[in-house]
Amino acid sequence: MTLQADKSTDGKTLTIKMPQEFDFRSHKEFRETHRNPGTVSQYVLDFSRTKHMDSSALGMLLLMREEIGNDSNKIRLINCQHNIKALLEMANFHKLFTVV
Amino acid sequence: MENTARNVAGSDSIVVLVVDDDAVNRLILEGMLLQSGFKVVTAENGLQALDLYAHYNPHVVLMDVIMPVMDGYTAANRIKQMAGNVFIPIIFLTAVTDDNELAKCVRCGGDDFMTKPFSRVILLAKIEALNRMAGLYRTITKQRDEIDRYNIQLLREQKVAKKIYSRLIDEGCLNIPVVRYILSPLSIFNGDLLLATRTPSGDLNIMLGDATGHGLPAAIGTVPVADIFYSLSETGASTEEIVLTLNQKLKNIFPPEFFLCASIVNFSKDFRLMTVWHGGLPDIIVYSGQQHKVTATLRSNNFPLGVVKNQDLSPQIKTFELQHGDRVLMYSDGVIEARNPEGEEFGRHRLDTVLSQGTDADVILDHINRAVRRFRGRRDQSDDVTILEVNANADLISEDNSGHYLESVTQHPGDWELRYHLTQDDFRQANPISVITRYIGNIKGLNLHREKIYVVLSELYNNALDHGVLRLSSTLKAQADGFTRFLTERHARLHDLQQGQIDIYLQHTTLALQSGRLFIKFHDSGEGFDILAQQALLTANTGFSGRGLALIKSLCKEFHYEDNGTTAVAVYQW
Repeated sequence: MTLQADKSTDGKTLTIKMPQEFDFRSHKEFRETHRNPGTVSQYVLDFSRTKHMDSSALGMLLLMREEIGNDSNKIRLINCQHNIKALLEMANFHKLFTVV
Repeated sequence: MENTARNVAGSDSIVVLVVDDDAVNRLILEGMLLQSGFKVVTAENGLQALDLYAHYNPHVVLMDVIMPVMDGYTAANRIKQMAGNVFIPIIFLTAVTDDNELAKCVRCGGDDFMTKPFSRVILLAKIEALNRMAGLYRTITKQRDEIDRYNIQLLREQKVAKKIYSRLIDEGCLNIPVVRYILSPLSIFNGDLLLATRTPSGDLNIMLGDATGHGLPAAIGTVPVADIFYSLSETGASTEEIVLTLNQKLKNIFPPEFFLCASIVNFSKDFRLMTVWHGGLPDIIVYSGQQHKVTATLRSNNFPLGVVKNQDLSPQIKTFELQHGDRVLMYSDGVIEARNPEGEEFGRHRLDTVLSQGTDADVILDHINRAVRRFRGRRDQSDDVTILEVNANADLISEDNSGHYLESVTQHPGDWELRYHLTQDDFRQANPISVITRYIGNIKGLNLHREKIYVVLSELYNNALDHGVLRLSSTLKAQADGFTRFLTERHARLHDLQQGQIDIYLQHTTLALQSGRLFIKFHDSGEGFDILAQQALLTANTGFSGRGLALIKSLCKEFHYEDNGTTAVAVYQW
């Protein structure tokens, strides 16, 4: 398990602990986390462990956004390290997601 | 018996080769094994064992150590050699319990050993366990072979695809002296894209792209990009227009997780200005040719292409002034993300180090490339580094070496006429002026005037369309947010246009060997306008809207309107 998803007690928020290297290898596992949203309405992606991310990871974020209805407020990206934040900003993704 | 064993091995049962010079031992072992459902082949010494091995291809070998003719060590060694990559378990049967002797069994290729007298249960368990391992080994070997075969096939296909792809994607004018680049031969399968072309006004348009994902999907996605980029550049489209067209196309054809990080940069003909749209690629760097250091860094401030719809795109385009000899460096993320054998990234800081050593601008590209390759060391296999350098030195480009679509200029000027009748549907398609300009670009002598003629024709065409056919008022443009409103209105009216015509008439007369006269007439189906008032505006040359006409007047020997403003006549002399 490189990815870890935990639901809040009220079942509304899903916190996904992102892997150390977020790239195409995480594709399947990442997609599973939000395939069946159920009661979940808020997603928190915790990047505190993540050191590397590639462009296919950006693609996965886009796909997730598309799948849960293109709402920038539904997905929060937290604890991004400097280089991850720089990569997100390079692609203007801070306008598509809430990056904290 | 022996001659049926191989056939039996074709079924699921395990064939065991028993090698022992002692007939009693052979009998005991054979009995035990047959009873448990194994097929058995027996040999009296090592040499016979080799023959039988070659013939019956057993799954497991039970090998005595001391035998006449050839001993067990030698036979085991030979069998392992004969087996090559196939794992054939050999269990030594030995009376000795000396550690050194047992170690020797393993050194000679033995996989296990049993000391006499044998326990039936243990022997069978060992055979089964080793056979299971051999089975696993066979599966893995088979899979590995399949992967190898697949990989060879894939590489072969990629080579062919690369050939087709390079025919599909015109290299444009990447070979002009101001452009240098590093692009791996197979990097198209990383989705990297490098395009360059001249615009009708002599500018240089460059595009560097890096598609998400790898392999064929990424490469296929870049094919329409090249087409759009070249055709729009050659019609003199603005950077914004190119960005919007590409974005719309890619948003339509790419699945949501695919997009193209790209930079589109326009260099003015004299290389004093560059106009940059920068979406999702690493910083563009301006390295001073005079000061040997970085003088500007341009950060990406746009979405990559194909991420959001056009209405949410609002492209940010910046203009920068360049100094003579400045090097504009663009690169894909392969440079920053290159890893060394320890898994570290090359990173921006290492790039900055290379850039801050006062290196001569002539070799800065090579220094970056070398630093990245050295850093990667032996890991350098994926090779997806793309770097491009544009030297802001207009002296390197001579007038007759401009534009790749002008390579085969063969036609002599002569005397000719050209008529174009355009209707509402044509207006909604691509700009027809580019077609005419391209034609003129093929005429010797006149081709050197292509840019000026393009300006004259596009101004006349835009006037005829905007103010004639579409009846837009140019006073709209004079207001604060007028230009945007003008474009929106223009777009709406063009879309709704039921009927409208523009007739273009060109007539060329040769005057001398290197001189001619191009008569140009535009007639539109509009209502016309007050010619006298227009002329007053033209003389004053102050208004925002009069500039196009002033430009035509400055380029042409003659220019005036007729038929209440529905016909424009211009004469371009060269």
